[in-house]
Amino acid sequence: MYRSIIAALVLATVAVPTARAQDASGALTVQLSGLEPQGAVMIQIFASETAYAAGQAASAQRVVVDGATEEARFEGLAPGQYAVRLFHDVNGDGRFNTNPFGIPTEPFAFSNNARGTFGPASWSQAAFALNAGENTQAIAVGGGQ
Amino acid sequence: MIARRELLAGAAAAGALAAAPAAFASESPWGLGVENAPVDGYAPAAMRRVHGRAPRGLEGSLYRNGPGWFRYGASSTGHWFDGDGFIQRFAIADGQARHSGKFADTLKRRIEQQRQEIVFPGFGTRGVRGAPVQSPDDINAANTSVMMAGGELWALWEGGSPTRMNPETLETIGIRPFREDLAAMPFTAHPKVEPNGRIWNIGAYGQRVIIWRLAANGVLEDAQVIDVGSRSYLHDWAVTERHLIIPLQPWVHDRMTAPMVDGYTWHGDQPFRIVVLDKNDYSNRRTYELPAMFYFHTGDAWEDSDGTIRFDLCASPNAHFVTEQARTMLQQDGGETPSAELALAVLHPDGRAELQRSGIHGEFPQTDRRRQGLARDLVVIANDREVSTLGLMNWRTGASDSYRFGAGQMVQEHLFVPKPGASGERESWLVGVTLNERERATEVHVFDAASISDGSVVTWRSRYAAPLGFHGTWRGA
Repeated sequence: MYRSIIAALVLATVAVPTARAQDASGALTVQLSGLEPQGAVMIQIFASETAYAAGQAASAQRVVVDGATEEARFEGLAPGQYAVRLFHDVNGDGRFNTNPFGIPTEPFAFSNNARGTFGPASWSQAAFALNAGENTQAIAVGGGQ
Repeated sequence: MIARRELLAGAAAAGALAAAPAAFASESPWGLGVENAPVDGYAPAAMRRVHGRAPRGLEGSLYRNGPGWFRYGASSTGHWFDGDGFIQRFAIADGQARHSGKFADTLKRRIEQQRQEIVFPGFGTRGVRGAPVQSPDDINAANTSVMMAGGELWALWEGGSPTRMNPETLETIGIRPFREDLAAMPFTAHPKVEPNGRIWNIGAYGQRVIIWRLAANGVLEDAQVIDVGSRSYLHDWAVTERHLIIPLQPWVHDRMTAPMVDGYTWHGDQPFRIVVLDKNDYSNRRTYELPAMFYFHTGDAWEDSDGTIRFDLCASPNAHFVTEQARTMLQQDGGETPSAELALAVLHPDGRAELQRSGIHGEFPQTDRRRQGLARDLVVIANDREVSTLGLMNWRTGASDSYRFGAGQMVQEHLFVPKPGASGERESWLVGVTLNERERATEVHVFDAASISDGSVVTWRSRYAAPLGFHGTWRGA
């Protein structure tokens, strides 16, 4: 039941170059909280439901975690619907770790702080409107626990 | 159960229900036992001695765990097994008993209390659409048993980690994985503790089983995953000095559906398989077969010098209790399932297996834990249904002894507690709990294992009826 989220988070961690800045482009600041200060957070953003399902990120960043809160900024994004997903690579091995039964052992989260049931949040749960100018998503990593 | 229903009807006629919580009108025949406990639990309070005198030398605490919260108004769990873990302590000292209780502070409980509704899916509960579940420990109810390890009290579930608690205050410390890469692995509510303190346990997921080996202080020594070849419902197991025994009943999880219990199918035409593993080499296995039967609980196991393995279990003809009654009991009378029969499975060195039936019925089998994995005679069971009886079987002599509490007493698990300075099995007390529906009160009883038909040595009664529990542990003073 966890296979889909593992695939989703392991694949496509290589950043695709961000879209060229345009006059009416938007910027997204991802504010992360609830972090254990170690390792790094791997963040991906998606520009469509199809890309989200296929794990084809529009952009990705790796943010080293030094404190309980961190920020990542994505620029030059065309306005539209987006979703963010991330995992906290606590041990810094570059992988989304799971236990022997395939259950994630590292925190993961989505935009809108959406949480799936025994799997990733759906596009409809995680999608948000990105407008021209400044946009913010505040995400509690491992939220609720 | 008829007696219980009549009792309730009588009480209603007398207007006694007027003062009862509204939810009691659910008319569950299990009535008081499946009502919500107070949200903050019970502060330590003296119990009233209603019979006998406390035996000299009995000092310590009986800790018990079981589901203690079932509903928020009309929002109800779908199965007895999904209630929030409620830990009760019966502390006996200086000839007196004190009762206290507190909920395990789980993520599930925190969120549901905040939202005032049942949110999470469970064994027999569907949960709300889109319930936020990222790990089995997000739905860990910590509601099935308790054990002491490393000075902590662990509230055990079946599908996830132990929840660590302070044994004095019953405050929850939290979940801490045995090892980071083993977070959220299942750890059943039936660990087996060798006489030297070493702890064995298993956890099942599909047809794979993790075998845990912990030091006496609860620190992980080893964990290995094996494939047992069947997705059988695996609630309890058994351990001898040299072997691990994993019974695989023909109640099999063969469909992914919600709630989980609906994904199991009873295959009455298939055998009850028993996999026996060498403690030192899990690849060294033998498999035995018995006719189809259902079980929740084993007693304990031992092996003879010729290699014959014996373990007691409570056997039912099918899975009706878990699929039907344990869900409907929360709402209405779901009919009556006969109690399981105590039996002894005998696994011969030549590969044959047989089942020796005792003729006495009940559940929650308990043995003298000083003899874990070793030859012994006695096993005690509680019959909480037809006859409200505590039964003690002697496998060596074939004789049984019993005490009948009478109608309106729901008899729960009783534990062997060694008498100070004594080593014999019969030189033990049996300490356990009943829910006295007539008195609307929880009682703790102490029997002498040598003569349980004489009745309890001492009985204390609380001022209230606490929810039924499943399993417990005794911690000597």
